[in-house]
Amino acid sequence: MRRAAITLALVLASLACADRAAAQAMDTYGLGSRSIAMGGAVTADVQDYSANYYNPAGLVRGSMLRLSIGWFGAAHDFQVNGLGSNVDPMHGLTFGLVVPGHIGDFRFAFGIAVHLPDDHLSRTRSLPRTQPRWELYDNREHRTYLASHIAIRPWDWLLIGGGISFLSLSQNVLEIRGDIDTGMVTNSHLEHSLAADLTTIRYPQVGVQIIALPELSFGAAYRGSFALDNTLIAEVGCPATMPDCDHNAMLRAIGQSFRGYFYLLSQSVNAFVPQQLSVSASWSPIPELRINAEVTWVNWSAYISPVGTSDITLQIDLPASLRDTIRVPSNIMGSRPIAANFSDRFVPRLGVEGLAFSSEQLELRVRGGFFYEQTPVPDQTGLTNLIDTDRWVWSVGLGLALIDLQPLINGSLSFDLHLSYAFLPPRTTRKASLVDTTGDYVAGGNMFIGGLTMELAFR
Amino acid sequence: MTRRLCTATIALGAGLSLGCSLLGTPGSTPGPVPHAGTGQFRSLTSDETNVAGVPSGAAIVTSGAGIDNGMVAAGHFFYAAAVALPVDAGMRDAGVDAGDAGDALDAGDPLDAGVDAAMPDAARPDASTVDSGVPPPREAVSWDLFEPRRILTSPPRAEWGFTAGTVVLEAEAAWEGGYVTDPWVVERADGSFLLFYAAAGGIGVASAASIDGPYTREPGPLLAAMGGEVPRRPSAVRAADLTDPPATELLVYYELAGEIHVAGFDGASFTELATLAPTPLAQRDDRDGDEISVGAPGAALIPTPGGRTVVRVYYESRRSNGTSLVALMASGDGLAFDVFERPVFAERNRQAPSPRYVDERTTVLYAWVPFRQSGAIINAITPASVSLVGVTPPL
Repeated sequence: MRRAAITLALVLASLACADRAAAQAMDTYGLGSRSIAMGGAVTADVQDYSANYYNPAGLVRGSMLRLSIGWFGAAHDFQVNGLGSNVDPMHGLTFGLVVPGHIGDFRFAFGIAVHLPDDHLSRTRSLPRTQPRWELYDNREHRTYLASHIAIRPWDWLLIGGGISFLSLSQNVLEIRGDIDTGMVTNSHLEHSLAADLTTIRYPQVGVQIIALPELSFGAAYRGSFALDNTLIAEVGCPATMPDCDHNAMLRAIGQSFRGYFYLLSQSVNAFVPQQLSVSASWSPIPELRINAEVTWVNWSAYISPVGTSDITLQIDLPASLRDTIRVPSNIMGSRPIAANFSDRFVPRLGVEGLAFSSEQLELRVRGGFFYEQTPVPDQTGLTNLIDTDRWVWSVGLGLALIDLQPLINGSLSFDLHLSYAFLPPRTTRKASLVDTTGDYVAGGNMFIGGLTMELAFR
Repeated sequence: MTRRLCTATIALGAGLSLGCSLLGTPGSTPGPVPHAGTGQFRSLTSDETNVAGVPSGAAIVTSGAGIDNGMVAAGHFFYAAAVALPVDAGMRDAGVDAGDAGDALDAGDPLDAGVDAAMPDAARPDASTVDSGVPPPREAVSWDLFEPRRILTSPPRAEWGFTAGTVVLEAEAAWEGGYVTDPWVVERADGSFLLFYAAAGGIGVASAASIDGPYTREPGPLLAAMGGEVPRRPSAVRAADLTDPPATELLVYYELAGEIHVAGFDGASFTELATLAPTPLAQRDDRDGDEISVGAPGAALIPTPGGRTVVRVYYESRRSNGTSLVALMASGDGLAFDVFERPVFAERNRQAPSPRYVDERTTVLYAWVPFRQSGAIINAITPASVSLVGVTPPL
């Protein structure tokens, strides 16, 4: 009873801190070389630092203190109508820590994982609503990820973990003041100020592992949904209601000066990751072989469209003598969100790990994995062009463990390598309108992922 | 030894990881986005056309000649032109001088090139057009000041402009009324060519085994003038190439009484299929005026990356203030059309558009513009970011 109460309290404490957070690279590329090499089908048996993403319950599965550092990279070879889409590669460092402990015979563990992109700590893009973009790859992975979890093992067969992940949202305010001379550009004088605010957002994650038999375990993990709101305010000059404002913008044309005011408010969701539930089994028919199978439900139907809201105000106090020469539109249309209409998906995953070589000092494991994710994005027959196709992913990996480092340390050192290939079969989009400016297109491509993780484990 | 080896290994791994972390690069902009090649168009530069002279972007410059509509088929440029009459032979004495008339393109506003005091009475709008507003600026060209218009063809070039051509058709039959214009050439399934054209008495057709000719005309008009209205600007495509083809060999779009019609033609019979009623183009601002009629269709088959072949028809949207916008509609069966909601040119003086398919995302459009009282054909392209310098035109 006491154990159950502690368990419940810890889980609730972890969830109480949670809020919405932003997209991260793990959903696309995975975390940790062993887990990626096994196709991500590790919810039932993960115990290294990647448990912070796949299943926090696994943090308490092992008994060793683990320090991990790794590097990974992903290259995108995407095309639309045969032209390269210029989707940025993604690479960076990963760090992880798993610290087990116990109070009496009550076991617990603490873990953190960090994904640190080496190009962009955080990137936001707000594109015109009709501009084609690889919605799930172009921008949403480019941000820093930090996860911290705790796990407990109230009974030997039951492992429970939970915690939160941290990301950031942004609000940017751009102010411009000064004078614009439309006749003599060199006479223009402008200055601007930019205020960008990155604030932390969080999302919850919980998981459980059940060790039914020494050779058979089950796992389940839930990851919450989160979104990254992107707000941009651009303001030039002051509105007519504030005649004494200190950052007026003056326009000069045809020898006359007059006041102008421009205001743009753009609000959109720059990245969204839906809630997910993974259920997994891990079976070891012989000590040298492990077979994992998993299915993940992804609640893509909740996807918030990146096509956001924009409001534009333009006020120019034209002198009467210029009103026939310069035409100022009385109204500039903004935009309103367009529903994404994504569909929920079940993602099957398979992973295999075999012990290829073993000695008193060395172990070599080989791994393979596969998963398939049907695209959740509907046919883009209308205004929007959120490009995506199905994804078939194969992965392989090697794990080399130096299991006896005495007398240097009382522990082991391991190197894990992973290589993945993702095939995105061509998908044809036919527009409902035959005068659509984007027109029909065929999109598809390949993705290459690789990385290395080094782990020091202390007994 | 083991201690040193392990220490070195750990240091190497950490060093490599940190080193890789310093290899950051700035983010790139999204790559070339798909573009249907529908619009907006920009005029080509003289570097792209390799045509010297004015106006910039002209598809062809012929000294001392009036230029009427043109189009490109299989790399050949077909156009109508007429040599100016000697100064003392006609109404040039009335004060209309090509050199004095200014540059209509420079003026930017076709109204400037429209009805002006220097225009001879014969070129002024008659009473019947007054009710429907100021006529399009094409009426500013008085063909009475020129010899009869004839149809010429220029051979393909390595650039996007053309040199002066040779005559392939001139008026002979009585129904033609002394001139031929509005050429449109289409290749039939058997490899022969048909040349549709307009004349005073209606629309006619001539045929040839080769695109260079010689063209042999049918004796009578395919579609004669009726009720005082003269059909003009025929434009044909092969119907069988469409994704959803109608039961006819060719679809012929033409203008009649301020509307665009489509007819089927199988080499013998010319059958009216439909009158197209595109949604009127809304004003961008008050300089656009309201749409009062449509006409001068120019059609092209466009294969899409999605495996469909559609027909795009660019046409004139004539406005109540005398301007002319170029509009676009497209169809999978040639009969039911989607209409593009904006004009494809920013300018208000482009007329008689004639599309040329380049590739999946690029379209070149030839359009007539008023220029020094004699007209010119401007060569334009979309997407505007594409440069044709060094790009060889397709045949």
